[in-house]
Amino acid sequence: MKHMPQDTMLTTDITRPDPLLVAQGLTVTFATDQGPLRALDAVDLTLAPGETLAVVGESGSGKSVLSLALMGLLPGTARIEADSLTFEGRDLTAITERDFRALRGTGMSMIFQEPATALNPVRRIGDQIVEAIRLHEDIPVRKARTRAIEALAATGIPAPAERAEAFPHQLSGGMRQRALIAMALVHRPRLLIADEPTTALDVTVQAQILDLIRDLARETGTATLFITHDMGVVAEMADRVAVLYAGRLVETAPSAALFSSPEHPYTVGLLGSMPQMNARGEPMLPIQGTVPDPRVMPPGCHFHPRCPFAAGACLTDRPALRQVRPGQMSACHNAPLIETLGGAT
Amino acid sequence: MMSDMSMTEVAAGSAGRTWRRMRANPTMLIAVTVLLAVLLFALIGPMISPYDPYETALRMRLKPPSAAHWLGTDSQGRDLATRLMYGARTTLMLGLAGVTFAALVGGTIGLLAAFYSRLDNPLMRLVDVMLSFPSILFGLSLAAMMGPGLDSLILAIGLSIMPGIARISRGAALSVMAQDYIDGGRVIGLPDRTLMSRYLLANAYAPILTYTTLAFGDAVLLAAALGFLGLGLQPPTAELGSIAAEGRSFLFIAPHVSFAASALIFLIVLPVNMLGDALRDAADRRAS
Repeated sequence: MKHMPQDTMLTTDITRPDPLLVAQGLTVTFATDQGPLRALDAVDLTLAPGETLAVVGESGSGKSVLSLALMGLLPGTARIEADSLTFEGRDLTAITERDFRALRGTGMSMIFQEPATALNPVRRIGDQIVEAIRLHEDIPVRKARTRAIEALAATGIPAPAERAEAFPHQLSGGMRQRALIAMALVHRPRLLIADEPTTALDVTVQAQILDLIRDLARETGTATLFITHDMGVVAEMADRVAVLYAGRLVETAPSAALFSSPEHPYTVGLLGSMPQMNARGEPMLPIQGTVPDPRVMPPGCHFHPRCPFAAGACLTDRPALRQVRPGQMSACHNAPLIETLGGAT
Repeated sequence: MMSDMSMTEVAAGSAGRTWRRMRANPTMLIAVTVLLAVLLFALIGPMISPYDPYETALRMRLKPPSAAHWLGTDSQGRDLATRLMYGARTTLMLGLAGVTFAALVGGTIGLLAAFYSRLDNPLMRLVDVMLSFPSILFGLSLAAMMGPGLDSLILAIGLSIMPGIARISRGAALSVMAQDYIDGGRVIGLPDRTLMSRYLLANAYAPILTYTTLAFGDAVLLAAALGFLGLGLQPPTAELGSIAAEGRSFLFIAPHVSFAASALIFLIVLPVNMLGDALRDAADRRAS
C-alpha cells in the first residue's frame, strides 16, 4: 500500500497541534466467500478537537465501515490495517478490548441512522441512559436518574421526566433521536460519530436535530465526524469535508472551498446532483453509471469509468492525494480541474 | 406515541394482547383446563388418597375398577389411581427438570453462538451432531451409559432435547444481533454480559420460551418412554412409563393398567403441545 505521510500533515491545520483522531493508510478488508473485499483503501484522516468533519459519499463508498472501524465495532470477518490509527495519541489498533470499551461512551460515542431501532425496545429510555451513566461513573441510581433527565432536557425534549419513563416505541422518531443524542453525549465524549443521523427523519425534524447536534457539540467541545450523503447537511454542519469514493478518499477540503471549487470530478458530480433553489429549470446532473463492485474494482483511478475527464494515466495509475491549494487535497490526475477544463469554469 | 394510556398499561400491552388472543382460542382453554386437572391430580391426589402407593396386597391383584379402587389395582394389588398420582408427579417432575436443564444449557449455547461469531461454527456443529440422533435413541444410550438414577435420567432427558432449544435460541438471537441497538449498547461501552442479558436475551426470549413449552411435552414423553423401556427410575418407584410397562404383561386379562397409564401420559403431552402451538400463534403477530 503506497501512501504519503507528508500529505497527511498538510490536511492537519497547523494551528491545532494535537489532533484528536489520526488515521493514516486505514484499510479495512472483509473476508467473504468470494474472497477478500476491500471496503476502505488506505484512507488518511485527521480530526482536530472540536472540529466537525463531514464524510460524504454514495452508498457503498465505505462511510459506515469507517465509522464502525473507528468505534472498534467491525465484525470478526473484518481486518483493519493502518500505518497509524490513534485517538488522543492512543493506538487504537493495539488497544485491548477492555480499554476500548472504557473509551466508548466516554471518549467517543456514536448516534445511528435509524433511531427507531437503535434503542433497546424492551427498556425504558431513562433506564437506558442511567445504565450508560453508571457504566462509567460510580454514582447512585437516583443521582444518575437526575442526570439522565437533565440530559434529556438538554436535547429539548419536552417533559423529560415523563419521557424517561417511556419505552422507545412510545416516542416519535425525532424524540428517539434526541434521546440517543442525550445518551451519546452524557459523558461529554471528545468525539461523536453521527452516521446519517437525519436520514430516517421527517424533513422538518431534520433541521432541528442538526441544530441540536451542532449546538451540543459546540457546548461540550465535542468533535463530530458527520457521515452523510446529503450535501445540504454538509453545507450546514461541516468545517471540513472528506469525500469517499469506492473505499478511497478522493478529496478533502474546508467546507467553503469544496463547494466553491471542488477539485475532484466525483465531488463535482455530487454537487451537480444536488437540487438548487436558484437554478430553476436547469436539469440536475446525475453522475453516470454506478459505484463499482468492490470485488472487481477498476484499475487506476476507481472513478475513471464514470469520469468525463478520464484519460491516459487515469486508467492505469492510482492517483495520489495531493494538495491543490492550501487545505484542499484531491486524488485526481487532472487536478486542478480548472486547467483541465481550459478555464471554462 | 405517548397518549393518555398509563405506562403500566403500555408495558403490559404485549402480554395483555397475547392473553386476549389466548382467551379467544377454545383450543387453548381446553388445553389449560386439562393440564390443570392433571396437575391437581398429581399434586393434590397423593394427599387425599387413602391408599399407599407401595404397599402390596397380593390378594387384590389386577382387580378391575370398583367403588373402592376407582381405576382398579395393579399386578401387586396396589391402588392404580394412587400409583398414577405418584407416577404423574414423578413423570412431570422429570420432564420439568429435564426441560429446565435443556433450556439453560441450550439457551446459553444458542446465545453464545449468535453473540460470538467465532463460536458459532464449533457450537452449532456439535449441536448438529447431537440432533442427528433421534432424541429417544440419544436419551436411551445416555441413560444406559450413565446407569439408573434421578440425576442421570434428568441429564439424559435434558441433553436429548437441548439441541433443538439451542438451534431456536441461536436463530432468535441472530435476528436480534442484526438490530442497531446491539451496536447502540456497544457504543456506550456496555460489557458483553450486559449486552447478552438485557439486550440480546430480553429481546429474543419469546420464541425460545414457546419452543421450550413444546419441548416440555417431548421431555415428558421421553421420561415415560425411558421408564417404559426400564431405563427410568427403578421399581417400585411409581412412574407413568414403568406403570404402563408393568401392565403390558397382563394386557389381555387386565388392560386397565396400561390403558390408564398411557391415557394419563396422553393427557399431559397433548395439552402441552396444544398450549405451545397456541402460544406460538398468540406471540406471532403475523398470525391473526
